[in-house]
Amino acid sequence: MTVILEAVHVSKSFPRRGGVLRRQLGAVQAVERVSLALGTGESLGLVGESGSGKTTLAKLFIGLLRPTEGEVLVRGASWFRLRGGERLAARRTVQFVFQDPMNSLNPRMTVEEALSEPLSIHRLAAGASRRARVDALLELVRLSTSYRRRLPRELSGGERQRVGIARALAVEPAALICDEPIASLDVSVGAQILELLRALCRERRLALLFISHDLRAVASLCRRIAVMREGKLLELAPTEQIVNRPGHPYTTLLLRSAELDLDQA
Amino acid sequence: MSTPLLTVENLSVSYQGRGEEAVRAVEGVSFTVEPGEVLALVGESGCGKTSVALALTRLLPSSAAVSGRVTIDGLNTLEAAADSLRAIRGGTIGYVFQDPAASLNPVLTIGEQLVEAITLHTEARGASAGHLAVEWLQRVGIVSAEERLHAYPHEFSGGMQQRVCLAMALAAQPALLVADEPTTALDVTVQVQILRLLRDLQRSLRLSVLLISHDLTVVERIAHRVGVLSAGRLVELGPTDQVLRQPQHPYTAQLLQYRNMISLRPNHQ
Ligand SMILES: Nc1ncnc2c1ncn2[C@@H]1O[C@H](COP(=O)(O)OP(=O)(O)OP(=O)(O)O)[C@@H](O)[C@H]1O
Ligand SMILES: Nc1ncnc2c1ncn2[C@@H]1O[C@H](COP(=O)(O)OP(=O)(O)OP(=O)(O)O)[C@@H](O)[C@H]1O
Ligand SMILES: [Mg+2]
Ligand SMILES: [Mg+2]
Repeated sequence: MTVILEAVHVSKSFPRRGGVLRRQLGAVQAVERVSLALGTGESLGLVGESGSGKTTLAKLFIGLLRPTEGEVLVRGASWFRLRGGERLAARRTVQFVFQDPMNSLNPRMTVEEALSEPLSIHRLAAGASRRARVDALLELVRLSTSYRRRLPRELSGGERQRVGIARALAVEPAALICDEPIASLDVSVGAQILELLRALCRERRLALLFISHDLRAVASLCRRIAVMREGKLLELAPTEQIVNRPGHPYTTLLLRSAELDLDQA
Repeated sequence: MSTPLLTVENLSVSYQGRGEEAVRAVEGVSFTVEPGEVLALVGESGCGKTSVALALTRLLPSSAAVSGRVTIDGLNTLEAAADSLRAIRGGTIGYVFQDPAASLNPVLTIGEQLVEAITLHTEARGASAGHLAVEWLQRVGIVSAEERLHAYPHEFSGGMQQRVCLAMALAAQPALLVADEPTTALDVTVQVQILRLLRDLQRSLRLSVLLISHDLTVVERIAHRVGVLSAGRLVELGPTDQVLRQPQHPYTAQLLQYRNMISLRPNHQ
């Protein structure tokens, strides 16, 4: 296994503002000294409560946010030291699926344009072969090819999410960071997407970081699970261990969620 | 039985595509929601759930053709004048849209947006509206609510934005809440807190809820009745227990079967 992405003691804090004048009162530690490596063919799950820092960690991983401390390495090189061609190559290596599909798709680009664009940026396919590639991508995420000419706002929520997944897969990345990729999908389509990701890890040696609040989906897909809370990595262990011998009360709570009773205080 | 708060009769929605054939998203759907009732709509991605929700108060784009009859608290919304519709939107009927980030205003603080919803639809003004805003943020589980009031939407996480949308809809004290996938971004601990809040409001204020969710566990926890949509048609409608225990339609059975496929047992060999 080759390490593709590695976070080394990364932290990210945001200014904390208060009062009507929004004076800076201090800082929100969204991610605090997290170290995590992701290798080829590996599926790593990241779970944690709302606001625990999962999306922030994902944005650090893809070089979208600059860490306030520590660094993230892509194939051994820090994101913020890459220049020109190296950076473009790294951008192709690491793809992501955002939590919020409406904001990640260009509202004026049709489905076909959204899927062709990365192919042309990275000069991967042109003409008829690009068209065939777009069709294959649509099929991968279970969308009919009749959707080619639709705009994002002409799709349902789950369809938009699937276009986001297809776009990330278009360039055959070595690593994929997915932020709640199946949250807006019903169980049947969700299960198919899980199956697709599983096959990519197994057959194409994709390195996958799968963020979800759904511990069931994570456990069925991932070999290792990381649990975050208040910006910190609470535990990181093989799935079997997390599920059978959770090391932290929060993890236990997640596991026992099905038993949580609405009428209990 | 009381008169329904919401009556939907023979609702159909089709979208006129550019170049392509019209998309028939909803076909002949009928159901009611009683005061204090939680009705869930479930179904596969793209089956027409959001289209139904938006059609209720004519929020669909102009490319959509809508037919049928919708009555909310006595008002025939598909025929009503634009201002009487505007008056019930955000008032009698509150929405939590499927895409929370897109439904918040990026240039107003969370507090400004909440206070606006409160002053527009309730008697509260000034400081008391401000207090209510803090209270609603607390009720949806936002910690340090008072301080967070001055944050902008982009400074909130996905799940926090989703909860703000719910707080805004509820703060206007609607009689009917239409919530389109309101808990997708929430982990179970927060999700249970939100469902508890909805149940409390449903019991104490007789809030009615049209809940759209693909999460059958959520549906099971809170809905009195469930409607199953498949390719735009309502293929099954009945009490939650009955629909989830003895599904009548093959599609419903399939939904339940898929749910059991995803288990805690690792399946990555
Ligand atoms: N741009 C920002 N400015 C200020 N604070 C921010 C910003 N982005 C995130 N935060 C804060 O950092 C913390 C972590 O947010 P993050 O989005 O990483 O959480 P998350 O685990 O993805 O949550 P969710 O499951 O709800 O999506 C939150 O308290 C959030 O309010
Ligand atoms: N503006 C539009 N123009 C054309 N087709 C549309 C438009 N909006 C939605 N559709 C189509 O109508 C159908 C129903 O969409 P709708 O958004 O109601 O589905 P949904 O049940 O909410 O799905 P999801 O669970 O994925 O959000 C889908 O096939 C979608 O592609
Ligand atoms: Mg997030
Ligand atoms: Mg929808």
